[in-house]
Amino acid sequence: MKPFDLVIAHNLYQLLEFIKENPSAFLVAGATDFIPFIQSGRWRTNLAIDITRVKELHFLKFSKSRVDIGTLTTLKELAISRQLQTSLPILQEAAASMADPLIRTRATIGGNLCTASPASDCLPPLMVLDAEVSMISINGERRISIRDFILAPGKNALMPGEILSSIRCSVPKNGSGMGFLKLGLRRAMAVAVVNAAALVVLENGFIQESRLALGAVAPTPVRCYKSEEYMKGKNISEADLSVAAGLIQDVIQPIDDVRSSAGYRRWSSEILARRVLEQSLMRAREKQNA
Amino acid sequence: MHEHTIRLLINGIEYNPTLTSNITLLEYLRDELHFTGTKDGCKEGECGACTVVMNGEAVKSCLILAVQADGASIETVEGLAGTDGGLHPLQEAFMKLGAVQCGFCTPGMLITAKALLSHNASPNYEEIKTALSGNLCRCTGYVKIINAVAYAASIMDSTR
Repeated sequence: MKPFDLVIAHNLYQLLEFIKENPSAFLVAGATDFIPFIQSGRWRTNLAIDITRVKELHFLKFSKSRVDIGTLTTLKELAISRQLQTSLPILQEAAASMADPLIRTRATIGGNLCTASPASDCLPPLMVLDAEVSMISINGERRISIRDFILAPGKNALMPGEILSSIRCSVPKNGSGMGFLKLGLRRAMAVAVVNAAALVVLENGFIQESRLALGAVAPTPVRCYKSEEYMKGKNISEADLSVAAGLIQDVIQPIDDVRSSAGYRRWSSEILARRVLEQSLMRAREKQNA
Repeated sequence: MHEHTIRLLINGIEYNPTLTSNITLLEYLRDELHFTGTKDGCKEGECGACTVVMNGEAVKSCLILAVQADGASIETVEGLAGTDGGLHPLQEAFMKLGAVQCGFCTPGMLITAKALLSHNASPNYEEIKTALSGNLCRCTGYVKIINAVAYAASIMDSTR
């Protein structure tokens, strides 16, 4: 690995001061992207700061209406959290589908978001949940939607001197159900060929609201607004999920890459979209009957 | 900033190396300490041959900067056998059930299994498969490895 200077941060204030003075410093936490990308030359840096000891950034807090996730929360902590499984199951399922248990022990949600891969498994759930991210610097805090945080493949909205500090998700109201699916070339250690997340809110047999997000089929994960519009207001029995799923085609721009072809992605993403909508509806009805 | 002096407990023994920041824990274990039981299969966290236990959890040592492990307690495959030379039940099980062919994945498998059993004394097959999903084997087809972990669990459980 090319040499670089490394500083260890022990608290948040020290970290924010340091990156104000050294805005080009690379933040290192789990290092599960950092090490491979530095070794391959995809990322380059002369200076890095290890933030794993900044306890202020490591939390997973639940209240009745929302979940606050500190940037250093590991994928393992998300994957094994019973509370998360109850309140935001698609995020728990997505975290549990990533990489493998050894990597999940080290990898952090903040790192995953900041790497901003179009195929990130956590992003479609966060987009469907309309998550908000908090970015802080020595000067204060900015909050933006997760959709505005991911700009392009590998590019996030952080400005020099800022760090991603936490992610906030509202717990969807009663009558909601959600679904998540990942299609990969194997059941572990697989970057998604396509991933999908959905949320529906039912009221009196009608779809009050519907959200659908797809990953690995566009430069960033995308919300499929036409599908969502189609579902909204329909009676459950009227909503044709195949039609809803078909409406993703305008929004996705799949490519050929080492894992799959554009054609296969176009075909399989529509199937995954339909299945996560089915999952969401089924789970919403189960909750209502419970 | 380029070099750090750190403290590590490895298989119960303390080390205080001064290292540059661009060395992984795997490189330190193999190249500096000559603990070559832990293997370098890919250098990018894809194969699991480099697995060690760090602070009680199985991790891929090629994905940890050695300096990040400051203060940690590390267990490698060299530490599995007892000080009297007696083999760990997992090692006995792997041998008995034919779970070793070329042996390259074996240290990683043993260590991941050890960490699993320390948290879950009687895992079912799905739990064993999930726990080992970060460790690749090109020889055995995994069946005998999973059986060996289950067998070791039953031995270890019955001696409790």
